[in-house]
Amino acid sequence: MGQLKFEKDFSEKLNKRKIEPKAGSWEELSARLNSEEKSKKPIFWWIGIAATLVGGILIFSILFNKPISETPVIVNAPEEEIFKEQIESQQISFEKPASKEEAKPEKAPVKTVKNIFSKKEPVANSKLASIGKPQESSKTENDQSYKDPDLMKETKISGNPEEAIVEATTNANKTGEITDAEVDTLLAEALTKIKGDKSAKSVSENIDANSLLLEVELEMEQSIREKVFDVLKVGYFKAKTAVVNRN
Amino acid sequence: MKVIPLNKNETQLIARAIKNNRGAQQCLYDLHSGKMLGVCRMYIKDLHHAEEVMLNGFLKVFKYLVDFKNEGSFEGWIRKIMIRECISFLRSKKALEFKEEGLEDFNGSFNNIESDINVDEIQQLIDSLPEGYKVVFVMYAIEGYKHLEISKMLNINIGTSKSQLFKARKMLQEKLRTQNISGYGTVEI
Repeated sequence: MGQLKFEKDFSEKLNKRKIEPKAGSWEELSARLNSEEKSKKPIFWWIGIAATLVGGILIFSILFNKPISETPVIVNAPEEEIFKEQIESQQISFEKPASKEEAKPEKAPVKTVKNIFSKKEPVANSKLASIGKPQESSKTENDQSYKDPDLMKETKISGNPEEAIVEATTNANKTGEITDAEVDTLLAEALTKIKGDKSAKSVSENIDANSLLLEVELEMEQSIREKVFDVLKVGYFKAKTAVVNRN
Repeated sequence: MKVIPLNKNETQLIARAIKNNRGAQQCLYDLHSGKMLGVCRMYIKDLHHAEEVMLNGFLKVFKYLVDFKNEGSFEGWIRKIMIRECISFLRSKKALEFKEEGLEDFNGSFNNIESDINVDEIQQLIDSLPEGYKVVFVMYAIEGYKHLEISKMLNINIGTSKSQLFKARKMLQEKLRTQNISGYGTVEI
């Protein structure tokens, strides 16, 4: 339904009407507008300050998280792994055909033995003593083990360096290329080397690896903290100067 | 020819007012405050409150002047803001209460009564209506809003809007008839 006649009349008259507001109404509105503008500015600055804080936190989190992911993981295994690899290579060299051994008959076994001793650290004295005089006492056993393929396998699988040495020496004896005196000198040499290593190890035993690592970590953390504090300081001073300039 | 420079002047004023030029803002206020107080007075009986609402409306006008696109009339844009401000004022005073009506037929015919009363008498007649009737009547009959728009603005059903208008019209007609009989066009309230 459209407008009624009286409604049209009402509408025309009311839409033409003007009521003058009281004097000073504009001043009141102007004052309100001024206060509104003033209240706008602090919000803007607070947003800026909040943004710098958030940025600081982000930088902090990035810097703080980075070193943790980069911290080296202590692995105790490598020594053994290296050792195993060494022994495996040793075994491969033993398994090589005789024709190659004949080409370098004396030097090849000696070299390998030396290598083992240079890499190897934790060898017990008692065991070394037993290695010291191996020929007469365990010759028959060694011979058997050399002949027996199952025993050979066992030694290969176990990957024990001492056994590898014994094996190497017996192998050399079998071929008759290395004399007992040579073996003795080699073993004596190895023994002195091991003793030297042991003494060095005893010196190094006083220093705990974990404590060292912890020290390093603390140092790193300190440097990160310093960086973060620097960043926060810069942000704070920027915000401060901005607020001061605004006033 | 005179309208174009006036409009040009207004757009320039608006552009300056957007940049918080107090002079331009005052010019716009002086141009429209009289009419806008009249609009607010239609909805709010108390002139002091109406003026307060108008000032709040102008505050919003200058705050959101950036959003005004010169597509419609500036006066129409301000008017909308004023009406919304009036509605929210009445809501805050809990004066706006609508009874949800059923699906009745409110399209009944009305006697086309003519009135020859002045603006103040019209205002008195409108003021005599209950708030719900008054708001819907003013929005529909004076401002020219559709029932759908009214229902959206007041957050009511279209049926409620129609019923409020129907009852307001009936009431006003009755009052006009009694006035015409008693005073030959003069109002006696």
